[in-house]
Amino acid sequence: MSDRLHNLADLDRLIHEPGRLAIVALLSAVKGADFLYLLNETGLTKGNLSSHLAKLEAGGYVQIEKTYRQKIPLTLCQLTATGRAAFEQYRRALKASL
Amino acid sequence: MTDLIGEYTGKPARYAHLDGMDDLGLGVMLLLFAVWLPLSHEATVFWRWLAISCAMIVVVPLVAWLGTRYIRRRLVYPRSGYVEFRMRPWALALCVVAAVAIAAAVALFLFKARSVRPSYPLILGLACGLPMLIGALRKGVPRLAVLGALSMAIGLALQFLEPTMLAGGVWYCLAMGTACLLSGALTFFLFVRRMPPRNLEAE
Repeated sequence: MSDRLHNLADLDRLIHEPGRLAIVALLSAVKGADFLYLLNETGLTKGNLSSHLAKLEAGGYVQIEKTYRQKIPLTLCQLTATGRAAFEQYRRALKASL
Repeated sequence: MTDLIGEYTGKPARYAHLDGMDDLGLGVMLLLFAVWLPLSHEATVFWRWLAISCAMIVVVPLVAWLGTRYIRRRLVYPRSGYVEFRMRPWALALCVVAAVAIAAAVALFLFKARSVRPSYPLILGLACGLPMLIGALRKGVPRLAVLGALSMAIGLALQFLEPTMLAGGVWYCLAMGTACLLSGALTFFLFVRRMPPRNLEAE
């Protein structure tokens, strides 16, 4: 197997799924974003987004904080340091393999 | 694939200009500065001039910032969602260095141009237009490029029509403030029409 294929095989599967990749890419550019913003920008359904966020949270890539802003529930999502490092690694690996 | 990732990472920067609030805030500030210029010019006592200047330089941006923040909380976030941007220390330092460099260049230019025809409107047009053009190119917001080009065009036109600091400055602030206000109002109107508020709890 060539080096490029090795690189492809080593891609982080947790990030590689298109829905999760969109979420992580969006969160990598900001400090935090709420559920509605991610819903609008990714185009995923509510259930789908919740499921992907839960997987990323379980992997330690995303931190989810449920608070209130003026009596309105606010689900704030942030990329953790681990998640940020994993995304950078994923980008490098993808660039190297393409 | 990497382009797609770049598209997603660039989205939050465009989101910041989606609602036209920055244009509205800048428009209000420029219109208020158009009021401040003649007021400060007419103040004969130093303390009065200082009070008016401080009020306009501190209060006006503060009012514009608080106003846009209030509108964002009430009308923008329930529609497009909330994003908290990262404050990178190096970016902040770069902004400070750029601001100091621009101020030094303007001061040097004014000092050198004492004997020639003053170029205040042109300097205003460039100082306001260049950051807009750079922002438009970096963030991919065409509206900012139009406003930046307009700012330079207004500055250039006033350079020939009204090159004095007071009249030229007032006309520049009035023209550019109105343009920003109109741009912001139109963008905000289209944003509100395009994106209805969503109540995720009720859905």
